[in-house]
Amino acid sequence: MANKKKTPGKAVLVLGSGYGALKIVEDVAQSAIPVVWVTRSQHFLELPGGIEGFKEWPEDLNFQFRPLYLRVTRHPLVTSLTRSRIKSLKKNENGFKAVVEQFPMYIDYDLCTGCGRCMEVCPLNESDHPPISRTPAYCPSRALELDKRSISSCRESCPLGVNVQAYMALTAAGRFKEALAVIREDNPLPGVCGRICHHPCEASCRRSELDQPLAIRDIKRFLFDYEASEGPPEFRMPERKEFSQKVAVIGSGPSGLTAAYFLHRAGYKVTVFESFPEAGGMLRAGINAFRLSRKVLDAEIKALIDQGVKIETNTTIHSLVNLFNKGFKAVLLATGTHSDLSLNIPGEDLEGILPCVKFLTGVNTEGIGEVGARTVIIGGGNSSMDAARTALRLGSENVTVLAIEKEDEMPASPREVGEASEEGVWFRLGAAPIAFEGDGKVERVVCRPAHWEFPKSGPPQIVYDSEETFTIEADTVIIAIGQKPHLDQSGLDKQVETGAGGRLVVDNKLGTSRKGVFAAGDVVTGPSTVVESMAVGRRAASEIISYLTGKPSQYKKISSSTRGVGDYVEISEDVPKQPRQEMPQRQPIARRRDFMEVDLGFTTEQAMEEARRCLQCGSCCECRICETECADIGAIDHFRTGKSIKLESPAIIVANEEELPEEALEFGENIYRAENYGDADDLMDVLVAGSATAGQIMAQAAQIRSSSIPVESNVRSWPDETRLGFFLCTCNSTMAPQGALERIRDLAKAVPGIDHSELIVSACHPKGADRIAQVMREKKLSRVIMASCVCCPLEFQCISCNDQRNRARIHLFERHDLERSRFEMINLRDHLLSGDQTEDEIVERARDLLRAAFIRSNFMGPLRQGITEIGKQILVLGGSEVGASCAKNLALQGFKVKLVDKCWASGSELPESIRKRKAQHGLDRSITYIEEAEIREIRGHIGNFRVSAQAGGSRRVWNTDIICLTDENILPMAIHEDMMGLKKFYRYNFAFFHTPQVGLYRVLSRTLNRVSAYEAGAALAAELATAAAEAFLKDHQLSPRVDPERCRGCGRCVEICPFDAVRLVANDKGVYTSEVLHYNCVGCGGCVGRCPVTAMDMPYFSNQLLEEIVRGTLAGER
Amino acid sequence: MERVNLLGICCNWSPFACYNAAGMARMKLPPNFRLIRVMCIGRINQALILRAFEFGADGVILLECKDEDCRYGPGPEVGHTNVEKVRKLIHLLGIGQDRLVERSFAAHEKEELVKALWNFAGQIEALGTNPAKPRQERAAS
Repeated sequence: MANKKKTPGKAVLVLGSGYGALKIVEDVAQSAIPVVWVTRSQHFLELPGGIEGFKEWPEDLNFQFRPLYLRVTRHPLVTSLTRSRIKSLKKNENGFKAVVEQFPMYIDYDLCTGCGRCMEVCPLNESDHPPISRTPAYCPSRALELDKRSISSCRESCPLGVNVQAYMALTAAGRFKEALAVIREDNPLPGVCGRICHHPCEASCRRSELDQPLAIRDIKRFLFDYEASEGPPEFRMPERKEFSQKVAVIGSGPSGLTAAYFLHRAGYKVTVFESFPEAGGMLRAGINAFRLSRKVLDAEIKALIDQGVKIETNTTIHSLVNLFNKGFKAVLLATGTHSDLSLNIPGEDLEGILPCVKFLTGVNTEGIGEVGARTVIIGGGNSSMDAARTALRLGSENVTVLAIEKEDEMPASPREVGEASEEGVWFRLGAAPIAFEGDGKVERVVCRPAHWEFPKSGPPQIVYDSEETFTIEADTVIIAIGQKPHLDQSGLDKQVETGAGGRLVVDNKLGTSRKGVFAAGDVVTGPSTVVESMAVGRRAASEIISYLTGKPSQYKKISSSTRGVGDYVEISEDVPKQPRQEMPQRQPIARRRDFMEVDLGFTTEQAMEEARRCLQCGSCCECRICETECADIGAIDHFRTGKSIKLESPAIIVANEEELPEEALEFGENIYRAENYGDADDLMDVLVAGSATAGQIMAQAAQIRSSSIPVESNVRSWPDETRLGFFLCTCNSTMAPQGALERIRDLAKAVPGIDHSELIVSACHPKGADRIAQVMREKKLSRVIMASCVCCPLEFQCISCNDQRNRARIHLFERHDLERSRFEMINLRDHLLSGDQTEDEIVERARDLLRAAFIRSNFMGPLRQGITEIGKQILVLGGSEVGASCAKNLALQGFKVKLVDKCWASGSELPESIRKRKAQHGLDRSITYIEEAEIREIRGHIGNFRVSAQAGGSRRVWNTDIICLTDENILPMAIHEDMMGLKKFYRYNFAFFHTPQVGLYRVLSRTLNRVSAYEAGAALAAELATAAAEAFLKDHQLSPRVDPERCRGCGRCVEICPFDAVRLVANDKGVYTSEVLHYNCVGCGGCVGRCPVTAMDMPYFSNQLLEEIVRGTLAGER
Repeated sequence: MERVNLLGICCNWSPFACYNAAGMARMKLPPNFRLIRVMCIGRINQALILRAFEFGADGVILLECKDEDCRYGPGPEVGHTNVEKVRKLIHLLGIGQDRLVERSFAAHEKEELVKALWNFAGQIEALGTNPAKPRQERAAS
């Protein structure tokens, strides 16, 4: 809540949304009992059970309920929790113990100003399923909502957790640079991964349920190439704290580079050591230029160096101790696997037989490599394809790949196999080499049909299928059956523990046997993929940071449940089937001639078209651009977590059966139900039943009632020394263009008598109120004009009000305890812009709108007159079933009740039906019971009623604070006949129990068509309790005053007032003058308008003020 | 065409909700229309309406709630009485009773409100400036 109130430990728990629940919460809270209102719905007025409304559903219903909604949801005793559920519920001696869980509020309802900037920047705003939306009309708030579902599967399956959905969304919107920035958040090598990543994201793409997965990798490639074509790469570096600690990374492959990047980002001084003349590790040595262009690789590495990552090439590290001696605090070994495995078969040492990595490294790093006319590659992995295609490009006429696996079993990616095949590589599959033959130089490979078998334990075994052998002629043989670490070459293998295959042994924090030495990438796992190596590198960076800082590692693998609420967006039937885009490629015949890239990349149109195919599974793509846009307000936080609240509740009210946990069904007692919408005829049914439920629960929960009479504080005397300030809310820069706002501010500054004028970010944000309060203090301002969307400073909500407006006032007047009467508030927000005006027109419009406010500021005066405490005595006239039920309920709640069973007004008879009615004997002893009375007169007002009666043969006068009439025959005692039919009195504010006069209650017989007499009594009790428990009256300057000099006692004011707030009093000469009873007055001014001689006026809103405003408004025109 | 001064006196409840909603929906209002807001149309006495004409209004429109919607009860009734009386007076004064318009709206009728304001503007423009204005003022406007 805006005033950040504490959740009460004890409160009545209300479950479910809807109008009935709203009424219940209002009654219970108004009767000073704390409420925790919990619903699964997004809003409190969402109707439960899929009901959309009743037959009679007035079009302006939303407006009519706004004041009530605002009053209730921001009530100091109400903790309102939407998107929440009961996590556990247990019965105890005091009722229930509950734990309530609220889903994360990614947009904070209490902070959102509704400026809408997040919507404007959201890449999905124009899509079929925009994740950010306005609250529905029935919720009087401008706040926005974010629909964030589970993390999409593409992102979950990416070892680096790259936010695929976000860069798809941004690409589809043509926002390529922002898309690339999203990738770089998690992946420092987008150009490399855009080309050679094995894209597990595509394998998990949900679009394959419909047609084909998205070409995610190709889009990434496009984004990188697009940026490269535009200029130097842009990195979004978060604010970086520089540490003095140095970290060494040995090896500049994908793992080492990624670790270095993330360590650097965290603020460490990182040096990467590389033994080759150029950085890149296996990316450079093992992967060919026709798959990964050197230009791209160089650019990526240069970008990292430009960011501040230091890379020392031609440097082989032989001693870890030396590194520590040089001041490095931690070392990461990411040296990869650069030694080839050998076959260990006869003839392997013949000339012309080359190990794959050695061959590729030679070609890729030094441009050295020769092959004969006939080349045989042994192995079915990606390296083998690389070697085969390299051999073609080096001029080999006949290239054959020999592999044990069948085509669909080969570890190489099908795309690689396909491209190799297109270029003319032959495949001899399902056979293993058993020997090489030749005379000093290899001439043929002897093969034998075979397949792999995978025993339950141990390494896979080659199983030969037959005794027969065959041979393949070869001038060159390249053995590409796998790699292992080459630490033995530098001697590092003696300095840390190694295990199987010479790989490094690490613990679960990637630490090696030596303190401060970590290892990541292929040197630990054996050959893997680029993205997996990078992921381990990233994790290693996190573990090293944890090691250096002593804090736990921040690394967390992202999963679908990491954030978000609910399942993926359904695949709509309206989504057309559309195959994926294919990148153009050079023709095989041309590409086998050189080492230029095979793929040509998407065009801009293709990339956007492809990205538009994305189904945006998680709704919100979490690009977090909105979060940046909302930085000043801070309402949006994608990492916000849910919260959990514990409370004790004497009883539970259920407004939506589905929200009650199943285990609660057995509890039985102390669980009350609001009207079921399905059973109700109209909204009035629901509301009356709501009050009835509230009454029943009050009897249960009276012991947790808290009541305190507000203290008037900080009231300064009027008139004052006028020091006027002007504050203009910019509504987070959306009120008007900045230039216009500054001109309006300066315009105000130039008004004579103004002492301060400034722009504030947002009036409804805590910061805005803080700023106003601060300036008022510093500059000793006594009056303030606040131009925002807030229309008035008064202590009530009208049907135009919304949560933001209400909140602004709560911050200023409740949190900062400033005086309402010192403020004039004017709604510029809604009326400043009506289309495409010029700045001049906007300023002119503001001048117009502000004129009245400036006039008003001269007429300010006190608003509150005081607070009067009232007692808690209740008199119930009429002992019908309703009256008795009401009296019993109130007695249970601890109020002092007097019940007059059978009563009649003077001059009338007791009706036969009442005379025959059984007397209400045996009521609670705390109830004062009077059997019969003739009521002569009811006078006074709430807190001070005087009832004259004739009872038990003597005249009695009863003083009481609240009166309630429950028998039809005495209704006319308090209510003017013509007021009984006042249509839609208070609209929906329940003509059933209220009368126009405050403190005087009644039951209309039509109420009994809706609820039972017992329930009606409880409902009546609830309404009475709201007045009695509050126990004070606020008196305000909105009530009219009468000028006795002018009043001629015509009585028109008395006639027009429905509230019994004006009466005529005679002076000692018998001259009548009217008098306003401010306890009853609601401040509408009907009497002022009706007075034919302008004898009546309202201090706060005077005739003179109105005239001045009319004069000023029209003067501006001339 | 002469530029006329249009003044709206608006009840804080239904019509003001319409007015705010129209503003939020960026609906265009007559450019020479000015609005002042009061708690309830019943708050306005006859003097104030006459003052508006005295201060140079060429047309005055009272924007009020539907009779049965009044939050307080007596507002529209007071409004009707006052309009009736003031009409007679401005007729006698030679201002012409068509220059005072009274319209009522439910809270959701923003389109109706905007339409009524344009109609009002058209009506007053057709009548021209208020003949009770001093001659030099009429010449200036």
